[in-house]
Amino acid sequence: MIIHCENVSKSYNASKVLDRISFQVTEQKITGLIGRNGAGKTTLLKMIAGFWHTSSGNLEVFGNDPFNNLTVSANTIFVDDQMAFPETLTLWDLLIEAGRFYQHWDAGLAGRLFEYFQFNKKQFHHHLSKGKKSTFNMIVGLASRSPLTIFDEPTTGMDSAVRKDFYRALLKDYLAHPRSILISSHHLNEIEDLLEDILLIDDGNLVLHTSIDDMREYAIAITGNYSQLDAWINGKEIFHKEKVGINEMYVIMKNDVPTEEIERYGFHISSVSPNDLAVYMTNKTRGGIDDVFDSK
Amino acid sequence: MILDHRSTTPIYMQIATWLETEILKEHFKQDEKIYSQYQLAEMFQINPATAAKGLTLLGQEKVLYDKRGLGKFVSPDAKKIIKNKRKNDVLVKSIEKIVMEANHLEINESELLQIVQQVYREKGGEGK
Amino acid sequence: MSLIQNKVQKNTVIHVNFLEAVKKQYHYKLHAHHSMFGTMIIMQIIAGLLTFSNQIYSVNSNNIDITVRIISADLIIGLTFLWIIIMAFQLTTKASKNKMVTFVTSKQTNHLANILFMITLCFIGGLTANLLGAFVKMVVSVMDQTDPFIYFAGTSVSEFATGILATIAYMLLIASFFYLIGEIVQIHSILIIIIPSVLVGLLFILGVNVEPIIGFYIFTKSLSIMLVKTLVTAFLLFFAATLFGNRLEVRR
Repeated sequence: MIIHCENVSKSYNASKVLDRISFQVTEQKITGLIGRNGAGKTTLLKMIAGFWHTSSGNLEVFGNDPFNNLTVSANTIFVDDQMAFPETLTLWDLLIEAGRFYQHWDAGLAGRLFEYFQFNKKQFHHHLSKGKKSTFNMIVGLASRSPLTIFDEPTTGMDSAVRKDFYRALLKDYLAHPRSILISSHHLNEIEDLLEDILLIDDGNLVLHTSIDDMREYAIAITGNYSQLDAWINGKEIFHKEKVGINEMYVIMKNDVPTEEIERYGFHISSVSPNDLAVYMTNKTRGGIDDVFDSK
Repeated sequence: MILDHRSTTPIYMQIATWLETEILKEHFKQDEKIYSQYQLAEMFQINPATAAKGLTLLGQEKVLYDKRGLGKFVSPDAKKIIKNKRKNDVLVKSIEKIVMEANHLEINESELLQIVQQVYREKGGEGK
Repeated sequence: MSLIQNKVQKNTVIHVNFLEAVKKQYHYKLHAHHSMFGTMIIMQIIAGLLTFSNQIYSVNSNNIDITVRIISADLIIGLTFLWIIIMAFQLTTKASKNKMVTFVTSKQTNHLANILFMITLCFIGGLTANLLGAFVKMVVSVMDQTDPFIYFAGTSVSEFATGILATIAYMLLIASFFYLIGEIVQIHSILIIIIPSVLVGLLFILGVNVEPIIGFYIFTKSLSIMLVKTLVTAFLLFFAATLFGNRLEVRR
């Protein structure tokens, strides 16, 4: 059992940030943590890493309460753009120090990635640009080969070429050395192919915990004549609806109606990408931002 | 092959379909070992679990068989199974679409068959 | 690709030995603070230079002029004390703890590594402060060759060694005291105001007499008794410091 999270809640300054989250990670796999800003992703990850307490509930990582736990610390690395390093050590010094702490550290990999991303050994971490910082932090995270590797918005500030390289490096190293990886990101469409499982968080609640494949088939998009479709969807679980064209409606709903029935009505079906589904499931209203502009 | 991320067909199915075509083309002969989930993951830049799902699908259809600890291998009947499946799925589904379209255009059965025969005269023999 | 590339739990849980972890953190802190030693030496040298121009007393009487010049390592040692106070405080700050949490740590290993680090600093600081002090005295005596009335105090080897040990012991006492204060203050920022106010209040307003307390440590005839008093107190203060702040969150 790698992560056991049971009815975990977190309150901070009288507001509830996470509300009774329950899930388990039992094998080595890449799990994506998806949700809007402020949904509670970072809070969850920092509790798993042992930085913050839970307010209630039972959280176990590698069988231990992660807070102030040496075993969890030794088996986990938390990578984000705020990783703190002493200002007095050069980048190369930092890699050497990291190597002393982590049993599975691959110095060769670290060195090659360091060169590939064109870092200078004598540079200092606090002098790096945002994107370069994230890149360096990513190198430390990957080379550590920690049994639990946590990436919290790891691509902050990276340009798209570097992001692509990061995903490729992550996948390649994961294939060669499997481990448990949690990665939170705003760019679900970019990391979709990397993921095996997804945790979708909205407003402190766990909305979905499923495989990425199941998420791809979770919902369908239907377009058709406005009034016909409107009548047909009555009573069904809708994630999103909007008016399109002159007299048509575009609807996202749960994929539990047989295709033939839909086609019989003359409606058109298309798939819903996990990214879109995540957006729609975490929208505050069914019509999204259009509701702000549509006056009734 | 390049994966189509926008398609309604799930990635693992695209992988399965591609592997079937590779088998039909005899890039993998019977009793030969097929790509592992890790090789597929590496080739297509996807999570190995997704690739594994595609392999499992082919295993369920008996196109591939398992050798414990050694991976998945092409069944002796693989080509036959694939051809049958494609005939039933792809071809039949295509014909269903054509028939429905014909209905919309108010073309009856014998008119449709005439068109089919004409197409055969012009294009029969291509695409083998 | 090897045949054994299934999702076997290859990466089983790593178990770290507590003392191993402390050792690694200690080395990390030494490495990270290497520039602090340089800063200390510079501070001591500055103090040493200032010592040269110190403490000249003149006494006149009918036919006799007496000029007394006192050269001591006090300024150097005083500045070294200030340095260790700053270092001890620094180790208790959020910034310092956040840096530890990047790698492998626990509150306990961090405390122990900090304590070992401060002990190291005290040894080095105490040693260099006394050496520099002795050097200054030597320079003065060489420069003032003309003066036949130079009185040296504390220049025998055993007295010199005593000076070093005493300095180290006092530094440990001071470091442990301020480390404890630093840890207590971290609990809530309001304490930064409350604690100094309480101390100032006790000292000046209420006139609490701290002489006996300080005297307990300074006015001892025997070196070994003084060492015992100081080191035991330092140990207790360090230990007390490890009791605070264990519930504090990091990386907020």
